[in-house]
Amino acid sequence: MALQEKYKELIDTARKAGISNLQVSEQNNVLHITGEAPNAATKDTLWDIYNKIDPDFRAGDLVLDVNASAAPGTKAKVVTESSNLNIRKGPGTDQPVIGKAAHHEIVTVMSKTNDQWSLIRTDNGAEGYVYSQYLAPV
Amino acid sequence: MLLIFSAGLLVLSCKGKEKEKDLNTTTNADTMTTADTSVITTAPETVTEAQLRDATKDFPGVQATVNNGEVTLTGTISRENLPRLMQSVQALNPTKVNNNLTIK
Repeated sequence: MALQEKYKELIDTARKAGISNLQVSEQNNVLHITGEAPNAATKDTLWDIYNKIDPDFRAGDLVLDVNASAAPGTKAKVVTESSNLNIRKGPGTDQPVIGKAAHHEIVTVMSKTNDQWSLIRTDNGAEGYVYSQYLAPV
Repeated sequence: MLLIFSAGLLVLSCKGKEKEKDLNTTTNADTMTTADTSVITTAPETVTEAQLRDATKDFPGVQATVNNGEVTLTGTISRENLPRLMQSVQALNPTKVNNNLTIK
């Protein structure tokens, strides 16, 4: 309960921001907040609050698993820092790179393999797997 | 002649026993499978080494280990990149994240 007090601002903001499937639970003195953010900006806001309450994420008492990945059949924007995004033959960084999606390019999400990897297609026709963390709904 | 015949009988009787053994093994395996399934459904998902490798790949100075779903981060990172690393790791829904990183 003490953790829910500590991260009250974060939980309240998540509730107001329309996080779907929002779950707040405490396990072994670690607070878990999970859900789906409607967009990348909402996710960033939550992480800014997290960093403010627990500077540099040192306390190890929160797991914030709120992702803003695009749903299958929708368009997504490549949100890498500045570089191009690797398109791989299979879902894993051990898989060969078969193409690139440009920084801020809009791609089509075909399916989600798991929480980490999505199958995408670019407008140039390149198809393969990318790390979902770098895709934001548009 | 008698020797060959009895040897043949021995092989036959052994074969019979083997079959029985197979049957027993199958029954045991079925029971075990049922027990295993119930364990799998109740156990929480834990972070795998491969998932962690994928999540930290873009942060060359960072080492990450996982033990019973608990992730420990060591090495160095810039304060600017820290939130992106934490997002990537916490998206695996680990039980806990120990941040022992040196921040430059």
